[in-house]
Amino acid sequence: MTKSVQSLDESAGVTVDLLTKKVRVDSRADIGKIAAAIDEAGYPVTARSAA
Amino acid sequence: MDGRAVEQNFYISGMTCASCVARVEKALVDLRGVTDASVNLATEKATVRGTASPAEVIAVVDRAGYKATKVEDSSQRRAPARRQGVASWWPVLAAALLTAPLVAPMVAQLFGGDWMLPGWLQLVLATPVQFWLGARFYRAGWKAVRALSGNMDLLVAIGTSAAYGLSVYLLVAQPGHGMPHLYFESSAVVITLVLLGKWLESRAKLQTVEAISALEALRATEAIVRRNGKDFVVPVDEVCEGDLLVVRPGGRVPADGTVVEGCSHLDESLLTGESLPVTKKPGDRVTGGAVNAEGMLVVKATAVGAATMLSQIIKLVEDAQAVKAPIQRLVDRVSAVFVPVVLLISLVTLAGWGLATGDWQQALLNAVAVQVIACPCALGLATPTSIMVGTGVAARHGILIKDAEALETAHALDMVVFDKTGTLTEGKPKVVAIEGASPRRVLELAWAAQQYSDHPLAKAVAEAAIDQHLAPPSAVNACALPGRGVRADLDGVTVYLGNLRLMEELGAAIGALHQAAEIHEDNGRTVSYLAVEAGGQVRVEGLLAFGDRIKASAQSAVARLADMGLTSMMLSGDNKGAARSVAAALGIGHFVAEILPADKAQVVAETMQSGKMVGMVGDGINDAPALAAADVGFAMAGGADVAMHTAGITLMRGDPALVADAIDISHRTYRKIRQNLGWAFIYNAVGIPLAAFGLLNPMLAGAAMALSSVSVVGNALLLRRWEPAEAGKQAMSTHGAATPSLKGAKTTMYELTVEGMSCGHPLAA
Repeated sequence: MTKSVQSLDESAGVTVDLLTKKVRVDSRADIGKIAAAIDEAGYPVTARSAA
Repeated sequence: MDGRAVEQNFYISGMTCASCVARVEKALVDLRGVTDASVNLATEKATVRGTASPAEVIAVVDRAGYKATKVEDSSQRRAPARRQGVASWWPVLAAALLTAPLVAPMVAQLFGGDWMLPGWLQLVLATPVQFWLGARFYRAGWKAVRALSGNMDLLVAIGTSAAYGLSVYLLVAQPGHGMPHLYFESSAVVITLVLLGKWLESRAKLQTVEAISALEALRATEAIVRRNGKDFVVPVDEVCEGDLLVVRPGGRVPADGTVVEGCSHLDESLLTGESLPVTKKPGDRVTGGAVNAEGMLVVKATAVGAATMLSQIIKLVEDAQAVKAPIQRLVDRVSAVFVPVVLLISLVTLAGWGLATGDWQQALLNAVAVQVIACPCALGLATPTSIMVGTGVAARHGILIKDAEALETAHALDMVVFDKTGTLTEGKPKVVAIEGASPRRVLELAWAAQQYSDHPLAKAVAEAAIDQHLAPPSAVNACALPGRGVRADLDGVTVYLGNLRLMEELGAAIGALHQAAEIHEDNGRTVSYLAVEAGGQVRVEGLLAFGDRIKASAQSAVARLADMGLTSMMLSGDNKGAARSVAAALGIGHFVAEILPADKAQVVAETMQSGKMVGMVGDGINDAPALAAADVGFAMAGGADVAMHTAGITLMRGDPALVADAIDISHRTYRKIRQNLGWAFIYNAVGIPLAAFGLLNPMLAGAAMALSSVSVVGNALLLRRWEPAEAGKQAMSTHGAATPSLKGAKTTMYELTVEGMSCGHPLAA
């Protein structure tokens, strides 16, 4: 998942919390593109927000 | 009534134009015990302040010729508006059907046809239009006469009666002399068009209150309350403070509260204008009206009924729409003399034409045209409809404008003063560096000193201490030193944690830490010094550097204000270095650092003395005096309630871009008011002389009048298309070392919920 996000923005910071199923992404990329990249990696995004 | 001055709201029915407003207002103000009264034509509501009882108010309104009903509580305020909002359509249709045969021959005549109906048939068609469908004009006009004043209905009634009466006279007095020229079609067409105009206007007026209807639709009707482990569905009115409320996925949060169980996302877009759902976990505050997404939440109610944020927002928007803009007072003075002046002009027209030409028939028609074209309703609707649509559309985008005065002042601002922390920065600082001989000891003492404080810096210290697994401290005699720091006693020594000012006042030498502090401050961090007093000696033990994140939209917000011709200024209690760094990053030229909370209002007042119109943006309790001192205060919600109460404009999101949006909507609303008033004045100023000089026939005058009020309301409704500017969101950080990848990078923090993660794979995927 980190790779898929960093393929959009290599300087993106990605933190995954398996317990809460939350992924925090700090990036200059568009949230839509980030969600699409994670979706494509096989992990459906069910909610998103600006943190 | 017990003699206490109170504010009461009344529904006033029967008002048709600005003259009616003036009359009701005059009657109310003349009533003993009333200190102030304000009547709004668009909402058909009166706000009365003073000691008069509701019965007295209702009686005096009744004597003035209108009907008043007391508005009991805010949740019922709108109900009558919806019922009375749209005038029924059938009188318009009936009038049109009866009038069409009267007009058709005139059209045919243009093409050489001669379908002129016999006079008696014209009389049969015109009479019901005049006295049945047009009865409302006589009724309303008569009320005005009884109250020794005039209104639009009176003008319509006199004008159409004159045309109708003349036609009847001609029909009766000249039988047998072929077909006399009759004017039944004029009176019928005027009444039909005015009815049509009123109907269109009432439909449009209803759309102006749609913002409030949208907010009211957010109220939940039922709530699931958990009592003794069992869930009950109860009407939302029965929810009490402290109840545990179960909010199911897809459900609406019924009241304000705190999440005690569960995790989910809430859609608060209609309350805050924020389009993305917001994460909620135990401990987070939720607002009634928000829609729950995927998870189940258990919420402890903290505010119910009229105390909820949603009820307060609705009240704020309604009050804003009820209060008169200063410009409206001028319009009201004009309206008060409008009808008598028009009647006078009409009489002069009749006498002038009659005496000059001897053709009294034509003289009468010209006089009728004068009365029919004069339109006080466009004047009366110009300001309130613009304000209602403007405040309504602003509310939809998370900008609550408290009153028309704030709206009027905001468009003239020259300078916006921002409080730094929590307004331009996120106000959630983190400890990014600890300097001193023993950093661990410094952190331990710092935690001890401010463990009881809820200052953002104290929270940052506690977080850092817990991260480092320090033991909870046990300090005594902890107290805050406003604008300086904190003090507490621990193990026989007194610990001070605070800014440079505090250290100077204590006479503590900074020594070697000075250089480290300068470097941190130049990087935009806030520095707190830790000093220990033992045996009468105060010694600086170390320092903590805090980094705060600049809000994503702060830079573009300041740039937009500059584009709009406004100067920005920043106030901060922080050191000069931190303030300078933030100001430079945001492109703010003026800033005042190391300012005490009490001095903020002083700075605002001094800036105002230089002749500038100043807006102040803040969020904390300590910003309240400055918000009140400024020409317009902008309170950021999420901050202290008191800030919201003192500010003229409340921003429902902590997004500085909303300041420029609020000023923008204020500009646009004022432009609409000026356009509408200009149009209404010019329309009357051109139309009346044209009619007086015999250049308009009564039917054209009727059509013009019907169009003029519809166009005023329609123009105001164009404001609904307003959208806030899309700002380029940029995030900056002064966390420095703690978040190295962020420094200078223009990034945004997102949070996504992802399914299908069962093991550690995704991290490396």
